[in-house]
Formats: sequence, structure tokens, C-alpha cells
Amino acid sequence: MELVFEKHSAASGAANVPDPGPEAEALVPPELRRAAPPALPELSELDVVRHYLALSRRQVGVDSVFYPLGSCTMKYNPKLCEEAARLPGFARLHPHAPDELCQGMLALLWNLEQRLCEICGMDAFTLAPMAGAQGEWTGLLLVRAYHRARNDARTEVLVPDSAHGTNPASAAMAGFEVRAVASNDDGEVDLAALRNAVGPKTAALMLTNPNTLGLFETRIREIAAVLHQAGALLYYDGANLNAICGVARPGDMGFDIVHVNVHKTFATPHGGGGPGAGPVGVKARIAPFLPAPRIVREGERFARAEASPQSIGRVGAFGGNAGILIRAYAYLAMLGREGVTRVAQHAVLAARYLAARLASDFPSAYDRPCMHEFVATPSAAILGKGVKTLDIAKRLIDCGFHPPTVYFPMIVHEALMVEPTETETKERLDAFVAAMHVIAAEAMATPEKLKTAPQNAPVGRVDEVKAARELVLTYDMAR
Amino acid sequence: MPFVSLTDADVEAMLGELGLGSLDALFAHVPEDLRRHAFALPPGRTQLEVERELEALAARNDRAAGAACFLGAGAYDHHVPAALREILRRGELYTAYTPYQPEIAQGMLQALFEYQTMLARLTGLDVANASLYDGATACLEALGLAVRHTNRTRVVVDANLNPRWRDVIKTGAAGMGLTVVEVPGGGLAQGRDAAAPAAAVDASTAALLVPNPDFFGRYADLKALAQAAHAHGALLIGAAAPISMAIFEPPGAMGCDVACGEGQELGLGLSFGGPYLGFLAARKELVRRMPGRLVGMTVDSRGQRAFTLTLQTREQHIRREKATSNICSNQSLCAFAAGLYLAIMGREGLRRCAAACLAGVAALRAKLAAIPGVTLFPGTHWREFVFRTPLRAERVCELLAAKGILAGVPLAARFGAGIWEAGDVLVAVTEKRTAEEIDAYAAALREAVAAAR
Ligand SMILES: Cc1ncc(COP(=O)(O)O)c(C=O)c1O
Repeated sequence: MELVFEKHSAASGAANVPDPGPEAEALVPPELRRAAPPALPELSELDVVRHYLALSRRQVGVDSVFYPLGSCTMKYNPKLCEEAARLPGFARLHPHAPDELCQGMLALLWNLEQRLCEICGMDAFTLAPMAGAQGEWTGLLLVRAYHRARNDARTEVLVPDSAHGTNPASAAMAGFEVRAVASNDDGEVDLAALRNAVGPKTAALMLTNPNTLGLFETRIREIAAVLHQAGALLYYDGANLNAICGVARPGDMGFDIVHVNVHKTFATPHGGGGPGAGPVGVKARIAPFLPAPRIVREGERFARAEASPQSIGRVGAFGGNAGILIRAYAYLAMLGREGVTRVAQHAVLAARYLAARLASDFPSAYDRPCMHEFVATPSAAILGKGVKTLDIAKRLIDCGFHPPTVYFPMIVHEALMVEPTETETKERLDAFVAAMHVIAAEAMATPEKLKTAPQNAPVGRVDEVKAARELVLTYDMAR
Repeated sequence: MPFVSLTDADVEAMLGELGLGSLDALFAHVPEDLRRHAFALPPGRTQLEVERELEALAARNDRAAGAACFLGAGAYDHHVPAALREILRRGELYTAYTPYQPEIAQGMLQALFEYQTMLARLTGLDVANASLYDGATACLEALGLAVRHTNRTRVVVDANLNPRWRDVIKTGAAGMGLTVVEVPGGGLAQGRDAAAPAAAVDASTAALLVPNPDFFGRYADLKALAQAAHAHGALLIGAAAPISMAIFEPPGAMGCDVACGEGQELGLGLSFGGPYLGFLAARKELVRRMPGRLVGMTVDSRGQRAFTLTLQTREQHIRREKATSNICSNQSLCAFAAGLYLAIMGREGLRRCAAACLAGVAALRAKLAAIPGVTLFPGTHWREFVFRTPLRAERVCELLAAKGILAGVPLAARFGAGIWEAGDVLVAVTEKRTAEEIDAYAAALREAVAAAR
């Protein structure tokens, strides 16, 4: 398909803005004036619309297909939430508008904080972080500030070897040394290894529960005790909250700090990679360190307050991705108390069902009941044919499915991580099972079919090695 | 039950297949005392009820959302073209995840590649990444890039950078091992000053970060600063405003090695502070140390042009604690929207938009200059400027708000102590502000100041 730079028509962008005349530009001193105008596209509005519509046809989302992408919670994004965020009273509201004039917005955000506190079992929340990873970074700065305030300079953060890459990356960005903790044969944190790793230097352990293998850490209370007895904190990566929301709470398990990915559990769209939001919740003793702005309620009035002097400071220019938080609020309002629990129940049921029905060709890496997702591997017979997980993923594209997450977590060989979510029908789950078994049969009989897949996508298999070797990051680098 | 698709019969059949008697049995291995049966949440409501509630909440902000908005300080009331809003509602695009499977994500990948190209052209640099969270975190990440590139840890920051962005840099500095030195970039009355920033750069400096325009809307020539930075082997980072680059010399042409900042003005709307768009562009040589995702052009198995995420070995999912950044979910849809905005506006649309801001600022300044008691400050102002009256700035803003005008940001009240005084208001004028609104602004301010005299 053509690039936007390869099309030309009678440009209509000028019609969007009144011409202020040449006098305006004469106000720019010659040494500050741009020598030649930037080479932007010159297109009519119709041609722009056609170009982007053509692009959208070369893309799939949850609105198009079943998208069982493990760890990503690709559930349906309700349309009322989209409408809500676009209401002029929200969409046209400037973040520096005086508090008196944004009471509706502040009330919504305050209430969202309360609901997140209740769902997670935390005492206070900040909505400022703009994604899960930024929530982690914020949380780890809180860990640092908490220990500092107690004159306790702790330098190490522990992460399980199965952890998501953002965990160690966020810890490093917050200035900690990262130490990996092994998992045991059951796929849980190895308590003996943990006890060995924990010491006076340990600032925190970062943990997902259920963990990234989709397994509930059944000894979570003991884990918490190990950390707390050593004076360290327990951090909850909320990427997998969908498995337990409305059933169990990280706060009750002993977690001190949590982030939630509203673009996972709370149904806000992923936007093709973002924006999301990563609110962070804490227990009361950590609340004084939360970043600004804090949303406070004084009677019937809401206001943005500066943070306490002990605060870690600001983590973004404003108070977070408000437009995304509105969607999360609307979603929670529709779900309500029973709906939240039903989400977790159905998400776990769907995953457990898929795991069981796929097991003959794609056994789970751990023979234990999974939560909202599971990690499988192709059977030895399939791998024996030289077929890789990647080939299976690409063949699934031909069958009309978005593939599961592949090669994560890193501790499982040829991993296929499947997360169906609660929003799919049984027919769709069954169709996925059928397709997987057909692919397994193809792997035995005609493995070439997998290795040359996809055949039915907008493009064939993409050469990622060439992309990295011969870097072309702009149209101008191609010429 | 909203947003679940399994019928009761399905649930029963599936539980049966698993040999389980109830949904609760799915959680049997979660310790009993952790399972909680009562959540203090409101009961679920119908879409109609929730729609009404949200409409009512939104309506409580209508006075602000519908006012003539002269607020800036990091977010600007630019026009959002209808075609942009329409395209952004394509479900294929906005309900997709990060394009890890390029064969079915060519739409988003190509659009991001086009965005990267447009940003590179606009900033006068070679490459741009596919987004960071916002302007503030883009500055922090740009400093991190400089530290990795130079193996030095001292960074010099012009204190006329947006104070909120300076706050974020301070929040992140210690963890990233940065030593931040803030230097004055020129007071309101003197105008911008390059001497102090230039003098602060030494052989241990990784980067000099300078805003252009600065927080007070003033444009400056950065070429001398580029020389000063480069003479010591440091990078010059320009925190810049994309629309202004249609008519002002862009960071790349002024000698900046990196340009970063806020892309909200490129069609994203206000939305109470987010989601916005951190952009980051750089010289080619820096690309392997850049944070964030990059889209590259390549071919598919049939030799056709195709796009994919590339240089992923810089990123957290591969490099973990050694990654160039922890960012994972970014602001892709905002970058998509910014590219779309630039495609809709085109060369001439963007030029007009930039020029209209200049013209609006000039018109409002001319009117305010004629009001006794109002002080203006010198400089080449593009979209923003500061004025001072004998009244407290919050009071000025209150009086004008009562007339449907959001007059600007009262600097001292909002940002605490700085180079400003209690009477200073930071005003922004975009292409959306009409001659009538500018007249009404001047008239209301004249009245407010006169009443106080
Ligand atoms: C387990 C886990 N942790 C953290 C993250 C990071 O979240 P985000 O992409 O919102 O930054 C993810 C997202 O992919 C994840 O799956």
C-alpha cells in the first residue's frame, strides 16, 4: 500500500484555519524563521480519510477478532465508555481550569479512586501514572521514599524469573539493583530461594498474582511475611487483576503497593499500544509519599491538592490520562458489585476450559489449575517436526484469530500464553480449540503450511531481521 | 450481566467438562480466608443510567469546557478536525494491542512509521520514536538518552522549562543517576538569556536541555548553545512545540541533537491533562540508545513493503533491567492521531495555524499594552506570554471567568515561587480565539484593573 507521502491531491488543510495574512509571519525575526517549510503531506480531506480507512483495513483489534493475547486482557471495550470520554464537558476541559469549574471531573476521579481502593484493598490511590510500567516506576519510587524516611537505605528489588520485563526495567530506572528469584517446579515463587535472597538490602519484591504463568501464588501470605519480617515491602503488579477482581484483594494478601492496568482489567482500549493508565494504590503508611496532584474532598467540594512534603514529586505534567480514567469509571459503574465478581469468574472459567480442551496437543507448562490465563507449549511431537510456536501463531492468523502471546514468560520453552477473557462466547472458544487442533494436525502432516503462514493476511510473514539490520525508520531513510 | 458472553447453560456445560460444581470452585486453591464475599461497591447499573450520570458529571464542567480558553502552560486549546475524530473511532485501530504480530497490524505500524517521518521532518532531525507518555516524561527520557550516549551523569536544565516538567525530571533524576543543575534562562523583563546555560556546560555534562519556546512563550536562537554544548561533547536537547516548527527554525536546524516535548497540540484535544503525547526525535547516531518503540520498514515473505517494530533489543521485554527505558504501553493512538492531524492540515494548514497563534498573541498584546496598569514583557512570543497587573493573578482570572473567559494561568498561585510575581498571568492564544474573544478579554481586563485602582 502507498504511503501518505506518495499520494497527492488538491490539499484542503488550509481550509481548516483562517489565513492570518503575511503580516503575522513578519513578526518572526529572520534568524528564527524556518528556511523551507516542512515536507508534510498535501492531500484533500477525502484522500486523507481514504488513506486512513485503508490502513484500518490492514489492522485487527478486539472489535474484529478473538484476541487471546496472554497478559494483555484483550476484553471487549464497551462503546458507552468511548462516548463518555468524548462528552464536551470532559473532552474540552483544560487541566488548568480552576477546580471550582471542574467539579464533575474531580468528583468522577475521586470516586474512581475510592472504587479502586475497595477492589484492591488499599487505603489510597493516585491516578497519575499513565501506564502499568509508569505505575511500577512510581511504586518503586514510593518504596525508595518509604525506606529513606526510615533512614533505611535499601538497594535491591527482587523479581521472580517469570516476571514481565517492565518489572526489572522499572526497578532499574528507580535506581535499584535487580535480583531474580527462581520459580519452583509448581510455577510459584520458590520460598527457599526467596528466603535466601531476602536480606537487609531488600527494598521490595515485585509480584504478579496470579503470576505470569497464570497460576495463583498459594503461599502468598508466607511470601508477604518473609518480606515484612525483613523490613521490605511487597509490590503488586496488577496486570493480572482480571483473575481475582471481586473475588480476592491484593491488600488482604499482604501487598503494600499495587498498580492496576485499567487498559486490561477495566476495559479501556489498548489503542494499538496505548494510551492506558496505571493508577497506583498504597497502604496508609505509604500514602504520604504519593505524587501530586492529590484529589481531596471537602464536604461536597473536590479539589486538587499539592502533595505532602514527603511526596516523591510529580510523575507527569498533569494528573494522568483522564480521558482513559473516564472510560474505566463508566465501565465500573455499569458492572457494579456483582458484575466485577462475574468478570473474574468467567475469565477464569474460559481459561480453565481452553486449557483443558487444548491439553492433548498443547499441554500446559504446569499441570495445575490456571486462573485467567495459562501457558502452554506445543507437544513434543509437534516440536519434533521442527515447527515453532511462532509458526503456530502465524497459522492462527490464517484461521481468523489473533495469536496468543508467544515466548513469554521467558522461563517456559516455546511458550504460548492464552488469555481468552470473559467477553467471548462458548462458540468462539470452541472454534479456537478446533482451529488449534487442526493446526496441530497440519504440523504433523504438512509442517510447511505453518512455516509459510500467514497466507491470508494483508502481508506475508514480515522480515524482522532485515528491519533491524537495514534500519529504515522514516520515509526519507528509505530513499 | 453486562459484558460477559457465556450463557448460564454455557457455564454449566463448561463447569461440567471441568468436573466442577460451581463458579466458586474455580477459586478453590485461593486460600479461603482471602476470598471475600462482600465488596462495598455500588450495584451495577444500566447503560442508560450510567450515560445519564456521566452526562450530568460532564455538564458540571461545561462552564469551563465552553469558555473562551486562554489557558496554556503545557496544554493548548487547538482545533481538532472532524475527520480526525471520525477516523479515531475505527475499532480495528483503537481496540488493538501493541503491534507484536505485524502481519495483522500493518495499519497501525504504517501510520506510526508515517508519524515518525512527519516528526523527523518537522523537527529537522533524522528519526523519531513512536511515542512516550507526555512532554514531561519525554524530557526525562531524553536526558536518560544523553547520559547513556555520553557516559556522563551531569545534566544542565534551563529553568525556564515548564515547571511541571522540571518537577518530573527531579522526581526521576536520583533513580536514573542524574545530577540536575538548573540554571536561569533569563528573567521576564530581560528576555531570554543564553549566557548562563552556556556557561554551565562543562566537560562532565551529558546534556543541556533548553525549551523553545520557553515556558513564557518566548522563542530564541539556540545555535550558540549548540556550539557551547558540542564544544564540551554534550548533547543539546530542545524541548519544543511542534506546531511552531511550521514557521520557526526547528530544533534540528538550530543544532539540537534531540528534540522532545508535548504533542498534545497535534489534534489531541484537552481532556483534562491526558492522554497526550510525548515525542522524541534525534540524530541517527543516537537511535540505538533511544527509549520507546520504533517502527521500521522492511519486506514480507513475498518481497512486498511491510512494517514492523524494530530495534526491540533496546526494550524492556528483551533487555529487562538493561533496557533503555521501562516503557511498554505508550501513547500509540495519540501518535497515530498526531500523524493524522499533520496529514489533514498539510503544509499550508499547519503554517496558517502557527501564524494564527502569532497573530492572536500580537493582537491581544497590542490591546493589553493600551490598558493602564498592565505590564508586558519583551521577546518573540509565539503562542503564549505573561502580563502583570497590580491585582493578584487569581483575582484577575476569577473576574474574567465570571464573564466566560478563562484568562490564563496565575503563575504564583499555580506554581509557587519562581521568576514571576503575584500579579503575573500566563496567557495562551491559539488559532481558535476570535477577534471578538480577544476584544472581550481586553475589555474585561481593563474593567478589572480600573476597578482596583
Ligand atoms: C505482567 C505485566 N506487567 C506489566 C506490564 C506493563 O504494563 P503497561 O504496558 O501498561 O506499561 C504488562 C503489560 O504488558 C504485563 O503483562
